Amino acid sequence: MGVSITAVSEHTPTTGARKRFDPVLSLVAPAGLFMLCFFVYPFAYGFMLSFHPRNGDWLSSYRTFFSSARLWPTTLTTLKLALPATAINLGLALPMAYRLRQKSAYQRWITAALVVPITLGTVLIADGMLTYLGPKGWLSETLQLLKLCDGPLHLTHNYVSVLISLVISGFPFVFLLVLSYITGIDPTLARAAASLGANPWQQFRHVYLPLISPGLTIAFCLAFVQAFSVYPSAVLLGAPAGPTRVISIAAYEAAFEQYDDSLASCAAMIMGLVQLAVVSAALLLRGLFYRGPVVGGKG
Amino acid sequence: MTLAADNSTSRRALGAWNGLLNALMFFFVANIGLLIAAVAVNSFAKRWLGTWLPDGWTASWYTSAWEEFQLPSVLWVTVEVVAAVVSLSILLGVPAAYALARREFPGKRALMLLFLLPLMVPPMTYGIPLATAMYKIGLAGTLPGVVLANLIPMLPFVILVMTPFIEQIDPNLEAAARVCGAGMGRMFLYVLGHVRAHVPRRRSRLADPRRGALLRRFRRRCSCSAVGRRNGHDLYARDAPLAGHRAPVRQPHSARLARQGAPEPAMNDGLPRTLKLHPRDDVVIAKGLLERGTTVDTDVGPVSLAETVAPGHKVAVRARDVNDPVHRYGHIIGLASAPIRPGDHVHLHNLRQPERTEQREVGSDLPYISDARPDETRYFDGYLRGDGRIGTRNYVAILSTVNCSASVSRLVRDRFQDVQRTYPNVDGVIALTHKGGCGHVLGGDDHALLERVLDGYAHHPNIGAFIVIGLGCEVMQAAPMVERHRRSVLSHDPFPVVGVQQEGGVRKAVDAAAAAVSRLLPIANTARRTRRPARDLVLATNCGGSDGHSGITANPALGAAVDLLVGLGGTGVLGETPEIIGAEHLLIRRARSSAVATKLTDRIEWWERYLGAHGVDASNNPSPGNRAGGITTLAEKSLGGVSKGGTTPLVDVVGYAERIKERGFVYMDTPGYDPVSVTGMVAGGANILCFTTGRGSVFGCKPVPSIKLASNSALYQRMEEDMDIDCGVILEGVSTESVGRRILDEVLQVASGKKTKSELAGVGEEEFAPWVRGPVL
Repeated sequence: MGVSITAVSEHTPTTGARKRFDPVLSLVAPAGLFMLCFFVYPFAYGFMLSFHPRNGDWLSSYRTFFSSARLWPTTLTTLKLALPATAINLGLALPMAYRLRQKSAYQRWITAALVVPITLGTVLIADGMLTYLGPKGWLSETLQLLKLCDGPLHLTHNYVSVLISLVISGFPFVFLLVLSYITGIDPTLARAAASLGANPWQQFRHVYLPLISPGLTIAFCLAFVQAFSVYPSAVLLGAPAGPTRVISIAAYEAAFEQYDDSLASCAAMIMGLVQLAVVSAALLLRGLFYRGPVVGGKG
Repeated sequence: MTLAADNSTSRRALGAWNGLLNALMFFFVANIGLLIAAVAVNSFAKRWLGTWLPDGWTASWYTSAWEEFQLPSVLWVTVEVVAAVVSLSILLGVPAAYALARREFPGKRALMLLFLLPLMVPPMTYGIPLATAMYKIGLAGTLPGVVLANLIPMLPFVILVMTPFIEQIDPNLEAAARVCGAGMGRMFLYVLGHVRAHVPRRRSRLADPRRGALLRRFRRRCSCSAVGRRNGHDLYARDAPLAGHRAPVRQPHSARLARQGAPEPAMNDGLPRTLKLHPRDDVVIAKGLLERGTTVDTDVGPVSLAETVAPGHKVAVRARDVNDPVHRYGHIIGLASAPIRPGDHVHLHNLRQPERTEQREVGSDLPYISDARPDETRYFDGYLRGDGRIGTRNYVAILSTVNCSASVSRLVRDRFQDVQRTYPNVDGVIALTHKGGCGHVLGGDDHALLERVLDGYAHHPNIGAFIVIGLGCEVMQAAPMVERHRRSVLSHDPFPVVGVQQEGGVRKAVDAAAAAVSRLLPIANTARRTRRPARDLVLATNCGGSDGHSGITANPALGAAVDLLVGLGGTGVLGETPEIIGAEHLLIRRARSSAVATKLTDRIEWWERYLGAHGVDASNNPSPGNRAGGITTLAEKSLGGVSKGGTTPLVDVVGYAERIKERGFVYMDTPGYDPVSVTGMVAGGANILCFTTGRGSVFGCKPVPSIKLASNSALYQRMEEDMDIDCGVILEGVSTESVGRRILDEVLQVASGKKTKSELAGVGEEEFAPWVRGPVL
């Protein structure tokens, strides 16, 4: 009994003192400090570095980047890979997740099957693709056997292969994200719409789509981030000197092959900027859609 | 009626739609399954090329992976990193998530943004500056560095996953715990800890330093497949973008040194104005015009210059009395002829050429031992041959004994252009042809020399198998050479000799030789790379197309790399005798013994006679132009070239194309002409070459990979597709030592199979050029 009294009496002044300082807030300090030291500082350092080129005035790294034919087109190359890959991933994931929105053995089975490529890692996928999709691989041989194509398939070491690998590694990720959003939506809303005469397409278009659009935006952003920083597959599976010379490769070369920290930081900053631009555009676009709670019912 | 029709159409459409989705899903999952199956099958395959299933099955990849990559230690490091990252991110992230979930406070949105941003910007954006910062404080490449780098995306992930989850936990549970007297720590442990145990463990996926280990394994497999080879260069060059993704397994120290891009700290306003070529040097070199009054850092602190110093000229950093030796490149370039104070301009007025007697004291310029620590062994993946030597490539060679069989050799070679498709472990079939082989004095100097070269190439560890094609009547007969090769690595049968005259003409000879090569290819293809210590490397050095920068950037940097390699027990080979005539004392003073010194002086005397017979002045004295450029003495001039050989003791001197047997710094007597010089070194057993150039040589020397070092950045940028390393960064403040370490890293990677630029360009067969020095009869 005595214990609980002291506890309560201790508790009260703490609540009173919260106005001045809340000890709970100190919990966030270590993590915040860590991010400041190891994320914000490098970021700021890189930003400064990009304006301190080895020679020339403060903008010359940027000038080099935008005037060199080996550097600035990498931005477009990366976008040309990342945007279609994200679009494909989202375009495939949305209908499939929608189809599987009701819990069933089938859903569990597919979900489990799709987690596998996520856990595999880029490198194993790249190795597998080189073997399986190569000109002498099983896919190519099967298609030739079935007379579906003449001559071996060329699905490795080009643009298509990197795109495929981005889909393989990105699709399951997007699918699981979208699935978690869709299953979070109260199915009674759709049933209510159906009772008012909405066909399946209308149910999707007018009930589900507005509700999951925030989720889709987040999924799009995360998937785009993944695709945009493509590096290993562009090197392992692509043609890193030509059609899949992505911006990561340019930045890496500048940093670790030419020792030009300023140029590398400049490429890294431009990379971050392009990415943030796309993400902001996505978020802005989302603002045009419905905003509101994702669950229906009593709320 | 219409409603019913509508209904049935929409149901049919829905059915079709669902069918399509099912088919797509099945297609995706099935292909993923097959893709994984392909990797699994490949990992048990003995040989699998273009067939449905492999030729045979083996588990040896797993055992060799276990041994070769020291998997236990790799796995252990992975476990350590994962454990550290997961526990640290939970330790830091969960309390933060708790605070974010439970409290509203000013700046919370900003804080959330701080945790969200790392997931929204590409890792490269913060990774490159982070790596740069880490190299500066020496954290890169260390275990804590890897943990830190992985924490950056991981911590925000934990926070963002945990925050909504903690929000769901009823705060009443905590209140109850507090009422029972639990402090914050116990409350965390019992309430949140218990409930939290049910959070899905998805986040461990993100902490994957194992990608580094996997990548290694993948690279290894790739080096044995045609696909991997074609892109070999890129596979090796860029393993992972972040320092943190590189598991520091085998050489943590070297990994840290691997990419030192950051400019050295010793600079006052931006870039240093002078260049110190070696830590032991008494002088520094002016990089640009140094006006009178400019401050220069010396050993006694900053000193203001008493006179204007032209670019390329020397400024003393240490006081020297009369007759004290003055060092540049770590070597004595002359003796002080007047007292020299720090900050003095050093040139003809206070530096003199030593007398000949002062020069030739064996071992007097006591070389210091390279500071590479002996416990820091480094490795590469090479082909162990029967004679114990190690190859860095695996070629099948067609050796032509005489010019008369050169065309036949090339016709045979042309039939094996695509050989890697079928024999992925063979780097190619090369025809080594030349202009000599006959018209020499039988048993004379040139005959012996050519035989030595051909013999050296045939026995070369980079040659997996060879055939010899001769005409039949030439001086340079093939049979004796092949006879010596009987105890070969791969076959107890003698290697085939094809004679055009015996076979009955070109077409028949080509057919016979091609058949012989076809028999040898499967044998050569059985060779596999294994892990070898760096001491098995024999590094040839050469320069060609030099410019004013070669002597202060690329050559000293290569010298630093040679010092490191010798420190690891390896061998560096220097040649190009005409460059050092008159300054041979530089090497004599480094000689390990008087026997070695005598060998060198004998060679120098031979050259003086040889050049004298052709009416050429043997001396290499600095020209007026050299002097205006800051070169004072003959020694100084020669040192520009000799600095490629580093500073360790000279352990042996060998004749042209003689087998290099000693380990350490070795001199080979070769002429200055690049292809002839390098051909001698390769015949002597060099298994890798570093070639420095200022004007842009595109030298290659199959079967040995040729790494090209550009002496200036302008050249590197102009000819990036041909230059492997830019040494011009030395002029911009990067230290010679760090570029030397970078060169050694490249040497080890190239020795392990990474393609050099010249190999990618397909250059290297025409450069086979045995030295012809005698009369042509």
